[in-house]
Amino acid sequence: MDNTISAPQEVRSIVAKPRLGLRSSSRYSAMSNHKRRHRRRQRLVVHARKSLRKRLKRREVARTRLVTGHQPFVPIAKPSKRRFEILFPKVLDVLNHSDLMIKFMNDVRHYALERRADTIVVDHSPLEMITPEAVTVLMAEFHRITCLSPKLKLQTRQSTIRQDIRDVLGPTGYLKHFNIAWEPTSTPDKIILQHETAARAISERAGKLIEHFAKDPFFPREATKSIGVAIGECMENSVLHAYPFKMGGPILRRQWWLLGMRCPKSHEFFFVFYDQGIGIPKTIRTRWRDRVSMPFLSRSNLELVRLAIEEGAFSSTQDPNRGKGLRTLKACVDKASSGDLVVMTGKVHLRYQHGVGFSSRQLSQNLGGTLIFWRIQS
Amino acid sequence: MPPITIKVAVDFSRYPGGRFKDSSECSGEEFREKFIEPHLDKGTEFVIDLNNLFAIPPSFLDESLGKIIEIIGLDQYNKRFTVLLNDDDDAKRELADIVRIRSAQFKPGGKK
Repeated sequence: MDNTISAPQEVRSIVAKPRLGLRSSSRYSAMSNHKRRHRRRQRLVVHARKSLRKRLKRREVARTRLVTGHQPFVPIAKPSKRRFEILFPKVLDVLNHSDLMIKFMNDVRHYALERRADTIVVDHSPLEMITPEAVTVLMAEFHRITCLSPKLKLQTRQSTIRQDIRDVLGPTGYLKHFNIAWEPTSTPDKIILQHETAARAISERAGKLIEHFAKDPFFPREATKSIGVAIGECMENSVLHAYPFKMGGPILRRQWWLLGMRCPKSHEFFFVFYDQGIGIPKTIRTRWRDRVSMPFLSRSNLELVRLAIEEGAFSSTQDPNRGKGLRTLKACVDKASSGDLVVMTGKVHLRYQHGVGFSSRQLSQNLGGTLIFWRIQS
Repeated sequence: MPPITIKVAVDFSRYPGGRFKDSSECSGEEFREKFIEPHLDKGTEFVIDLNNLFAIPPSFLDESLGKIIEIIGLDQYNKRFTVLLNDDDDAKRELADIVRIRSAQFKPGGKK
């Protein structure tokens, strides 16, 4: 006697469906939302990777063209693909040849951080002239790349650095990146420099730097306090406003660099302040007419920076007692009998000369920070 | 009660800093919290000597003295605070400006 109980027709058809090897809609609908989201995310990741690879390949082609067309970098393909040789241009001058300088800095950053170089060999031999303010920017860049990629080795051939170049690079601490010892030469016509960097506003450092130069009988006494105030305000502005949290990219938050120097021949005194933040125009574009793009109403970056330096009262906090920092920048130049102030921020290059007034120009590339330069003379 | 005399160059720092203690050393906020606020409710009078400082940033003045005006009002500030400042004309001008703006921001019966 057959004791088996056959299943009803409907049940059999349900059981039989998966055996056909077809995609089961019932099974698909049973998949949890979590799994579905996970699969979708995986598909997106694969797509993003593919497009990134394509973008990098296109950029690589462009870089190769740049390297062959222009000369600053000669990447050495063998034995390691992550070893690059940086060939300096003849002149590094951020104030007068700013476009070349910015291009050079962008390339250094690209090779160190995006191409993730293991070793960068710096060849200083083509360098015929470098200004101290360019050294400040360069130092800041080397500081950033060595902090952000600690495994990176910076190397140079000692013999390739000329003595006059060495005398500019040495006092700033630049040569320490390459473990090169430097001793000051006793020639009196050399510029004396002091270099500072920190991630907090430290007025004492600025004060001691200025006091060091104020010992010189030719230092304009009437400008001592105003240059102290200006540098102090620059420090706090860069710590508070220059590096907002929305700012992406490889950055050392709150960091600033300061350099002071004097020329014993002309009795001129120079101070350089630099940060790698988003730039002044973005931090002071807070009023509604500056935030919206309207013809005849909204102001250009050049105009905005100039107004902030001339009149003040441009603050991201909109507090009437704030936004005075930029106004203090030109006070020391006004007090000295002769002097200039240069502000380079983003693509803005603004110059204020004592007794002459403002002049400005647009840079072709973004500086990637703010550079403020003072020259004062009694 | 005799007034409290604070010689900033001696008791605090010869190099006063910026506004906030998070972002700056020897800041106005630090000075206010350390020297002024602990005695503010006691009705104490203050003599603040700002002479012999290397430089006085406006943000330091605003955060240390300007904030006090916003808390106690201009009348109380004038009665209780004596500021000695003879060697920095720019800082004097800044302070006058700060006093004018901050006194307008004072709300009687607000934060005491």
